[in-house]
Amino acid sequence: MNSVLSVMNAVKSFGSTKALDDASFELRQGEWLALLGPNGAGKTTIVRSIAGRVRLDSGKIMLLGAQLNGARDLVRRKLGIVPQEIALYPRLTAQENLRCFGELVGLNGAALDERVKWALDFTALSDRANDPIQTFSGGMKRRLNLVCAVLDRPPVLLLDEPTVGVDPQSRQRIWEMLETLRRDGASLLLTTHQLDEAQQICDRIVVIDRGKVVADGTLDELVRKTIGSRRQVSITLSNGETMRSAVSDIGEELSKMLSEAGSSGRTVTDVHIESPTLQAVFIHLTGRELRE
Amino acid sequence: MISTIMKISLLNMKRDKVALRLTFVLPIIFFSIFAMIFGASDRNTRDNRIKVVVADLDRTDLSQRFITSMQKQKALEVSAAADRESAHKQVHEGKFPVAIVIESGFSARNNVELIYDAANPIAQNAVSGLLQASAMMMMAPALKPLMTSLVHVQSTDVRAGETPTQQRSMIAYYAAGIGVMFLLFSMSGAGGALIEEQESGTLERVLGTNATMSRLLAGKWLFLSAVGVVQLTIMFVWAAVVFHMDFFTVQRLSGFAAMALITAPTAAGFGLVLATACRTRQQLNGTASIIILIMSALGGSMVPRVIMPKFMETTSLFTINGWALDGFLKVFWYDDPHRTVLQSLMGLLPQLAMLSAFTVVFLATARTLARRWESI
Repeated sequence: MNSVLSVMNAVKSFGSTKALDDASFELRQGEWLALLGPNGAGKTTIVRSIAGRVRLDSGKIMLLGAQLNGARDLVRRKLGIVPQEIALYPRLTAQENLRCFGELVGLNGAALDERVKWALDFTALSDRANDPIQTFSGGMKRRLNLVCAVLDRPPVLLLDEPTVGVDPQSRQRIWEMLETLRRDGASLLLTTHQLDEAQQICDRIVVIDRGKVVADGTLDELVRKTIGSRRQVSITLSNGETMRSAVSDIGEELSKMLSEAGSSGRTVTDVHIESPTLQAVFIHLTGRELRE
Repeated sequence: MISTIMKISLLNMKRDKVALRLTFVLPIIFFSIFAMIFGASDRNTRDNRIKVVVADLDRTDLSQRFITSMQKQKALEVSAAADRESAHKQVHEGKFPVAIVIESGFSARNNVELIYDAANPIAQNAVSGLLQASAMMMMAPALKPLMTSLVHVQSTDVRAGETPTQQRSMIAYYAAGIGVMFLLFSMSGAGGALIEEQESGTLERVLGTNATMSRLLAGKWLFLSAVGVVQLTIMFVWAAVVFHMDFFTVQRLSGFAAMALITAPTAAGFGLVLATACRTRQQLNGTASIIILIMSALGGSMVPRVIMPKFMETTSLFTINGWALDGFLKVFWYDDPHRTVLQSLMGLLPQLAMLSAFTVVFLATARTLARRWESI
């Protein structure tokens, strides 16, 4: 797959604090990439660098083959940015917000009307189009926050914690919206603390810590490189005892464990197989130490 | 429990520097300003002297001695005028608050005319008293044969005899003073929307579109300017309709339009400077209150500048209120009905130029301060 966005050897310091320390990764065409890291790891600095709000001390960022640093027009035309905050005008209605942001990205006339209608349908907010968004629920605001960034169909989408603070139903709806955008050809880079969701949805994962990229790959690759791909099998017996074992070949080793339990004369009451999780990989890579 | 609540409040207050200044420093500053204005009533320093223009129609030794006696008064700064018309004109134009006309026959009747401008009620009374003091000085033994009694003062309002459409009222002063002060408050409040947008992330999102920071500030400034013009217009129309301030003449409407179209953008620029300088809405509100109240007190929105000591009048030249009020008062108080509209507008040039200069400085400052929101 072609790379649509590349961060190359990015270095950025704020005073004596090194926010980015030679960080490099890429987002490929049509890919859904999760950028993970503990608080203060440098995620926001990377996102803001890509958005053109932070100037790198050294290194470069390439977007669709062109160098981004300082190229405002390129960011505006090719990159949709969904900020973590609800970056909308609360006293304006959903429709007014959409029209304003549409005009600000250069849409007008019939094209603007068409995109506003599409956005209202896409977010399932058509029936609330004329209500001020300060009356909306958190999930409704989040959906509108997202769609305002894709009015001009940017090929690359940058999402900073797009589902923070919303209920499971709204979260599911947002993931569906993002999946639709991806099917339509967009490449997505998102930061999130929802590791389970990143594990389920994203094609690839980049873990950043202390300004450095400490892991980059699919979940399977990360698991293999870090905690290993062995699954944890727990078999509970009728007498309350539990047999535990880490296994590489689940088909072969599970049947062995069950035979062993059967030969001991006890009945198996429960079997639990735990696959390696992104959470475990993340803790392995970044440690248990609290970050401020 | 109560002590804990008090402790929390104290810690909060200690860390809110703006609230501290509002609570403890602003009252002291305000008190000092008003103490300097009204406490300087003894007028015994060079800076506080009342400027008086004297026309000597008697031209006798006695009238000359009376003028000399006036010049010896520490509270007066005496200038000469060739005749009554010249003295009257200079008071009418606001160059002097009071004129003294020593009438012919002064040697026999001790009669003088005091021409005053009602814009400065203090000067009229103070000078009237000082004329008697000058006469008393002349009644010293050596001069007694010449001056045998107190002077007979006939007071004349410089605007007496003007037609109703030419008459002034203090309503014009208050409309200008209060109008400009609240213009500054509303502009700084409206400018605060920029801080709200920054806090909500909307500003960053907008800057990610076609809108550059310069365009964003220009849009906000133009909008605030338009709001300011409407606000001033409502204030003056209200004063005209409800309080019968003379407003609907070509000369005054054109003068008002010129002043409003320049003052509102200046206030809008000031609002943007505050918004770009402050980090939070709370900080903006506190800072705006302090600066605007001080500027309004010094600039004449609360007390006419004509009764201020000299150094405070000079200080007011650094305020928006000072220049804006000067302009509005030229339109509504010191205007000469015999002038053409163009001549009246030309008379406003110093105020319009200075307010425009303020605007340029404010916009440049706001643009510079807003760089912190662009990229780091």
